[in-house]
Amino acid sequence: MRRVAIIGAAQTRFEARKASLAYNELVYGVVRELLDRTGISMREIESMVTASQDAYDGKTISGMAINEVVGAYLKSEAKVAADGLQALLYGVARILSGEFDLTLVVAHCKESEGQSSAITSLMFDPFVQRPLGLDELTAAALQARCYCRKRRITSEDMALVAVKAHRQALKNPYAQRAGEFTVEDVLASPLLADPIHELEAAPRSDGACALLLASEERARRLVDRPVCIAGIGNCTDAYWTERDLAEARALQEAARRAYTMAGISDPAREIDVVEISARYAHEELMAIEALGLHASPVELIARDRASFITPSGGPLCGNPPTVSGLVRAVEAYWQLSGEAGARQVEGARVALAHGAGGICGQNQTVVILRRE
Amino acid sequence: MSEWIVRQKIRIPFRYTAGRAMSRFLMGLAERRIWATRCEGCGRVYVPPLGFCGRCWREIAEWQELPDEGELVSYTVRPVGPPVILGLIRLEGADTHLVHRLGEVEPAELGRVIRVRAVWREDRTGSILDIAYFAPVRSGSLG
Repeated sequence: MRRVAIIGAAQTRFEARKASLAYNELVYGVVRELLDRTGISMREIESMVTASQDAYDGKTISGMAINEVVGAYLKSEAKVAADGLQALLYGVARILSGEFDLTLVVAHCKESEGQSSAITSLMFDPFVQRPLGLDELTAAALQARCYCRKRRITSEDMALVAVKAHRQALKNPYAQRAGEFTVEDVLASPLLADPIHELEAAPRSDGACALLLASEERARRLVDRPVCIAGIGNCTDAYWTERDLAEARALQEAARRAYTMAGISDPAREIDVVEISARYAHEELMAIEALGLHASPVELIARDRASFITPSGGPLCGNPPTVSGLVRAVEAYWQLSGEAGARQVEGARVALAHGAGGICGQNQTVVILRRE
Repeated sequence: MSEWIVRQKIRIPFRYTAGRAMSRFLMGLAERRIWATRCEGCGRVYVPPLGFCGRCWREIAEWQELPDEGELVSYTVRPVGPPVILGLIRLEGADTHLVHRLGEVEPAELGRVIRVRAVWREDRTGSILDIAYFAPVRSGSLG
């Protein structure tokens, strides 16, 4: 079967507010950087898949507002209004169809322009949930308590996830928030929605990222040892109030599919680096467990050698929704192409990128990358 | 560097159709009754009711009434202005969760609350807010 490779990636620095750039300028900047890094010209790129949300852009058909800057003039472009890692999935499908070769995948979001809480409240059922003032953060807090109760996870354990993320982000020049915090610092940061503290939640963030996909044959003409997409799994769970929030069934299933496709039987041993899309600290623990990386995620996080888990720091250190999942693939790719700078995991050959969307992670995507 | 900002507000009035199952639930609330549906395939009891079971992918025709009391599965406190306490509640006999406000309880006591019961408004209109909030059921006062 035809295989798909990643041949280049770029991301912006993530910031609380990029007031000087309109979102099409933000996207142009990241696409320009991608082309500069790869030496590919826009003429050669045949198709585009973008990820954005109308509600965050404050404009419907938000994909059409960036069609020129992604180079889609008189080409085929499709938009995914979901997590950016799903845009990668569709980009791969386009190449596997045989219709297209070089395909650009881009995600953007300027969370600072609208009111996040008002925007995320639109995800909720308008009859029995929205009137109560629910938003993404509130639902995440309800899930965090379900998970912590079931697995007997303490506030200190949860805080440890934030400590680790911000320490790792010190090595990530694109991170918005980084630092040497202690468990006490995390627990002393403002309580946003009990039990979630400010340092345990993704901060409001603006930014974008882009990836260039190619067929394996094309990639081989450009690089000696291409980074190929070895496995993909995607799975949807029941609506958040109709399932056990302490379990991540959809993620387990997405991982199982991706592992089967990639021929991975022992993920903890075979995967060298993992980028998890946790917008709240408990989601990192849930994902470590659901991905089969460790039965006791707290124990793993508490160890120093857990630096192969989200070496970028992840969304806790600043990535907006929609971009969160795709930038995990950018980071995973750089780990395998040796471009991860100070956060490089030495000798990494197999990487995992995770993306999630919907309320309490209703939709889950797992992508396995492998370098020859 | 120019930072010209244009401020606008998007206001779009909506008229959401509640649909068959949700209409019966909301109209029931006006009468202090809680209607649920039960899937004949897997036996799951949905409240708020669904007309379809996504797990079995079949229509649900069986209705049943549930008590206005159940287990507090989770809660959170939003410290915005006067603190708002929201709970995830599994009503007696239900397999799904209802979200609602919690009242007659201090945030510090929440960890000890196991069961809650609906406190109804006098002026009910067929809305989820016909339940003012759920209050803790003190042990020994079941039923």
